[in-house]
Amino acid sequence: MRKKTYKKKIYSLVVALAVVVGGYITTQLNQPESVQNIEDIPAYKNKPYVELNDGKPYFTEKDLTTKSFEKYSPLDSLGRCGVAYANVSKKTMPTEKRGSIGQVKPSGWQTIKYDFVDGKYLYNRCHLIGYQLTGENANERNLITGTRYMNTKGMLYFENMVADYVKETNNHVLYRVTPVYEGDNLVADGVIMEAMSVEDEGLDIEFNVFVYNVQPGVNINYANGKSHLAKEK
Amino acid sequence: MKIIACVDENLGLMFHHRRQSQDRIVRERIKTITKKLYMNQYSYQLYQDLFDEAIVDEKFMDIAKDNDYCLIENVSIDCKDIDEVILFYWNREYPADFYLNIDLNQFVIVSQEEFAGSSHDLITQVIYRKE
Repeated sequence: MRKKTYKKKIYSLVVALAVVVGGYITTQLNQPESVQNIEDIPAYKNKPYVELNDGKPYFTEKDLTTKSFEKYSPLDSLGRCGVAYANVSKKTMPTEKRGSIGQVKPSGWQTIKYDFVDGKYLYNRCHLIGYQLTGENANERNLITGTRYMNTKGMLYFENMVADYVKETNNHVLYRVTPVYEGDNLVADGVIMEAMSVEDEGLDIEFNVFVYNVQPGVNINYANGKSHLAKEK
Repeated sequence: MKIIACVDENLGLMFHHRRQSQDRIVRERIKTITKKLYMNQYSYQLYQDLFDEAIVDEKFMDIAKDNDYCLIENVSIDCKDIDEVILFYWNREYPADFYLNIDLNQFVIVSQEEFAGSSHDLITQVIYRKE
């Protein structure tokens, strides 16, 4: 399994936030202490996610609004997704079953199977903001190349928690997912997922995690998405 | 002592000092089991509307007697005198960093019932008793 630090990536992340999210630039760059707190995302250690900034998201007080919204960054020059940001509520949730998304080919997409991977396929088209939260189906600005492991053992857990909370309470949850790419890689090393329940200011829902885009037993070339069996699973 | 808890597929209870999930129908069901529920202040914040006879104490497991029901959310079980465990399974997987620390192999299932919650499509209530 790969082992590396993420210091360079954090720089890329900050730049990406500044370049991609426009209106959120001020919000992000006005919080240097928060950025410093994630200066070193630990290497993957057999757990699909790790907490950042002691689990506290980088939202500010002025971000807390009861107005529902969802925003997706335009693809960059390499065709990669950027930040996806929403204020999830019952209004943003889907009322129809999810349709096909097979026509979307996210950056670094490869169709490849391994027998030991749940569902066989190494990669899923991973929604940055899950369909159950905002009902975005085949939106190319919301789909990245992600491993089955990241999708079902990492991101889905957090989506479930937020979706069920919103359904139960009718409250809002600020929810932001940021893919982290190293250099010009086409496949993200992982995603930063932040969330905070609005009406109770994070009493019930609050997290800030990095979810690793890895698949145990597989070595991934993040530059192009190609992969091969790891020597040891 | 009898234990009541809500857990995900992996017996997870909490993540980042917050309960994984909640459901009004579950709380109503618990009330049909007992009105006198032992809990701590964290749990009482959510349960107080239905449980005005709750016994609220940070060391509630120390003061509960044999036939009393204790609600477990953000506390470890440090008592061996448990003869019944009632679990409400969310049938979902959530993030977790705090788990129910009880060996269910010491118990047998005496009843199991599925029902729809107010925000969960399928919740399973399982009652375990010590063999």
